Amino acid sequence: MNQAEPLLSAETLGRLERLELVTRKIFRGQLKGERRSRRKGQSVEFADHRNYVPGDDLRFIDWNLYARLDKLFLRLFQEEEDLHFHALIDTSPSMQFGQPSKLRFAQQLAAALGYIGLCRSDRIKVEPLSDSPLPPASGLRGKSSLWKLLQQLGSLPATPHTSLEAAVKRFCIRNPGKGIVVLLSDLLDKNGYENALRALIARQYDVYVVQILSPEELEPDLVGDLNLVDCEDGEFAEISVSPRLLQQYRATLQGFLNQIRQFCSRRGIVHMTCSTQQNVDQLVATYLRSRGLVR
Amino acid sequence: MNLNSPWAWLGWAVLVAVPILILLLYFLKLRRQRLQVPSTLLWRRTLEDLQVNSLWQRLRSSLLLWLQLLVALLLLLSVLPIGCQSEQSIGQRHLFVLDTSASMTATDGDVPRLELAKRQIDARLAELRDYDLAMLMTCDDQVQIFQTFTADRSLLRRKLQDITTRPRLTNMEDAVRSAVALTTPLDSAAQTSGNIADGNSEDSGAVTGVQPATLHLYSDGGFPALKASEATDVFIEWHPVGQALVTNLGITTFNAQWNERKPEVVDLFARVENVSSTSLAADVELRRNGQVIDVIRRDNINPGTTLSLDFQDILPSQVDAVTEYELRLIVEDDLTVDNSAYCVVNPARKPRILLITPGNEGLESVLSTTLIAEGVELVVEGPEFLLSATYQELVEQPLYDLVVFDRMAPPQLPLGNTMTWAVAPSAEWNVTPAQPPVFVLFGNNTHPLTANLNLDALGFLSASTIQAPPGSSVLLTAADGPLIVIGPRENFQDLVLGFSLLVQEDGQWLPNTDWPSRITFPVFMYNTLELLGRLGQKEIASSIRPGQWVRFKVGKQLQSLTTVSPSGIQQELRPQTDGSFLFNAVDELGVHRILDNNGQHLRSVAVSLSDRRESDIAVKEQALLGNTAIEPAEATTGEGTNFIWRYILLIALVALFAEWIVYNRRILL
Repeated sequence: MNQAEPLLSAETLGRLERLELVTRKIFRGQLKGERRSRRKGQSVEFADHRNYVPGDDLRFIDWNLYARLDKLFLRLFQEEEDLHFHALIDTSPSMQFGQPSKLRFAQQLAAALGYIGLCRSDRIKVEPLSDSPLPPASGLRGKSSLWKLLQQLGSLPATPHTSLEAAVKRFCIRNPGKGIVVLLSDLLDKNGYENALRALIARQYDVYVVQILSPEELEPDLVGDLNLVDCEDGEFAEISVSPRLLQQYRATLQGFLNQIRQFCSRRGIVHMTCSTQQNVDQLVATYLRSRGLVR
Repeated sequence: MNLNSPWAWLGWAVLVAVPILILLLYFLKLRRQRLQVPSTLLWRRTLEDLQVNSLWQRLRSSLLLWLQLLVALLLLLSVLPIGCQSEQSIGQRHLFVLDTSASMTATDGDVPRLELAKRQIDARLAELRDYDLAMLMTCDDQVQIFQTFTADRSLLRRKLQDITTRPRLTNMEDAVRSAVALTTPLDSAAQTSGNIADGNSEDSGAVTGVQPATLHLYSDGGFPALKASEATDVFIEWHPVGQALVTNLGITTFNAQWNERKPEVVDLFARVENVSSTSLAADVELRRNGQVIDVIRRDNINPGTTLSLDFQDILPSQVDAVTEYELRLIVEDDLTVDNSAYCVVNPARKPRILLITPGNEGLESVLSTTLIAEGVELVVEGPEFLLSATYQELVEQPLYDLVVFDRMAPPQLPLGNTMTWAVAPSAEWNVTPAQPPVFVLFGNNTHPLTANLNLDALGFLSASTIQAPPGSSVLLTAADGPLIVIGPRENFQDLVLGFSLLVQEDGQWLPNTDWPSRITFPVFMYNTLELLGRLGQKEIASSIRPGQWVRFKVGKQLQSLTTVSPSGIQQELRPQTDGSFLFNAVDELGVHRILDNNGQHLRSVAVSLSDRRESDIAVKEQALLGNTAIEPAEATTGEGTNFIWRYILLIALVALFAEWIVYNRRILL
């Protein structure tokens, strides 16, 4: 896939407009949104009455009830909230591999999910994972912010070797609010992914982990004696490719994925493994829908 | 590679290093392809999982490695002397005898004969099986072992290249005798000899399980018939070296002697033989002290003919110096070492005369005359001298030029000319008892001793007749038989007189003859001293052959002498216990000069080949072992099949190496 092509085609945008992001938790946003909140607020939809206490806003006193019952009651209305959607994209060098690259795939997926959120007036925030401090990304809202979203995605800074844990913690500190966090990464961090996910859980985010792997990682097509060099830390591994080695690699990969899956399921995290060869439209329309992220 | 040599550890190390090197190359492949991957996390975990038994896992997965190790193992097995014990694996023994005599320097072919023989031996070595043993010997007039039995072909080839020719004669008989001794096992030697006596020699090799040896003779065949008994246990193959049609003209004889009638004249005799298959023309130069004094040209010397040449040279009598003669053939032929011959005339040495007598006034007085006394060194001993140890030295060494036995027979003739009065000097002679009266009939006027002497009127009271060995000359004949006879004995002459000057009657010694009072007696004695005692003569030394020893004495006592070879090589000689010097004619033809410490030229020794058998360089049709002819062996091709495996192994190694490279290159594709 050509890197110059737009992240989302017009047809894709049309299909995405019919979807909305779903969260298993009701979060209070800072602005009024299109989502009904469990809290009482100031929307037009009546919710309940309660006794008046001094200091309440006199504008919400139900004068009809005072007339009939001679008691002051206060009218409560259903609160409507917006949804915070955070797309954390791993921009480490390892995401540059694959055809298309894993980063490109992550950008497409984030754009699709972000557009869905924009259509529902959710607050969309796209942030790269980085150890070092980066200028805070601004939240986007409304369909008109689509091009800003695409611009942010297209200008994600390439970061060197990134510690997933440190980057996520930095994100959590900078974003105290709640919402949906979609982590787009290959999770191939030698320091582990567990602490990073624990940090997200601790912030009560509704966490979705989309693990993106390239076909070279899923089914390596290697021959001969090789000196594999890690693109991030330069560490090398000398291998002599043989069917037994490849078989063992597949087993190791499967064990690694199962381990992540188990970790996530125990903590209410939705984990998905994607190949860069998968179609993003189809992924969002079917796979993510089946996993409950969109509907 | 000789695995039994002192350098065997090096060979072993190389052999063992081959598979180790293959393994190292396999694991330490320098061309491991670098490939950047997103993360080595999963690969490292995979390698950790495979870490247990990873070595064997890798080995099991590599067919290439197993192939390489298999080839290396085959290489090791092929080099190592490993095999089953069977009759076929017992190596045969081959003994190569290379003729290095003078005839092998002939250049009748494109290459010298020695080089040709070396090539033939090299080719034969290539045909031997790996477990066959071979030995290398050379023979000329001596046998030399260059390499004992070994299976190391490279060692044999190195030794073969070290062999050079020497201008010597061929003594193939000694070589065959040595070969038989070397190839016969010690514990079977006794039985072998018994079997030979019984006419059954088939079991000679069965005693120790040793295969019969094959003796390969590489020679032109210029040796006499070999004795059959010497080669009973050895199968002989004769490999002729050279060609049958050759071109060679050689000096086979060159001698000098004093002219019997003219003391100042030296007669030189030479024989030149044409052993070619074609007629030849040649110039014959005679050189004295390097100067040409005579040249003879012969335009047509037919094949097989012998040219006899004689020269006369007048030496200045007052010159007391060494005279060196060289006879040189100016001809282009295949053998050059026989185109020159040498002889020398050394200065006169005062002859030593020993008189053993119980007392003889007439004899002693004539020997003490001025003319004789100044020219000789006279020693007079009594009869008891014959029984002394000193006399035994005379038997072993030519210490005296002439020994005079007066009325007493020696127990053993000395090395020197003798003059014996009234008795037989040895058993070959027979002297009858003295019988009077004696009537002299005539003397021999042609012999130098009695020429121009009138001995007819001599009177004797008693005398004996003499029966001399064949070849003797009668100098004085009486009515009953010879009274004075001279006969040859090897290099010496024995003069026997059938009478004495004194006769014993009534216990007193009385004159037996009136000869001492006649003028003919001192003349006869002078002639005797001149002919037999070399009185006043210069010494003529015929040339000796290379390798021979010559003993000589110089007039004065010297602690050392120096010899100078024709090429200028100096050698110091030390005197023997008897004061004589021993000189070994090394392998350098020409005149070797002997100098004293002051550099004075005392004498010379001429070294010449002069042998007809060596000059006859035409390859013989057959060699003789007793009465049996040894046909020439077929020429070797040198195409040994036993060495094919080495090339196959080499190709296999190269192929595996190339495959290894391709295998690694495949990664780049």
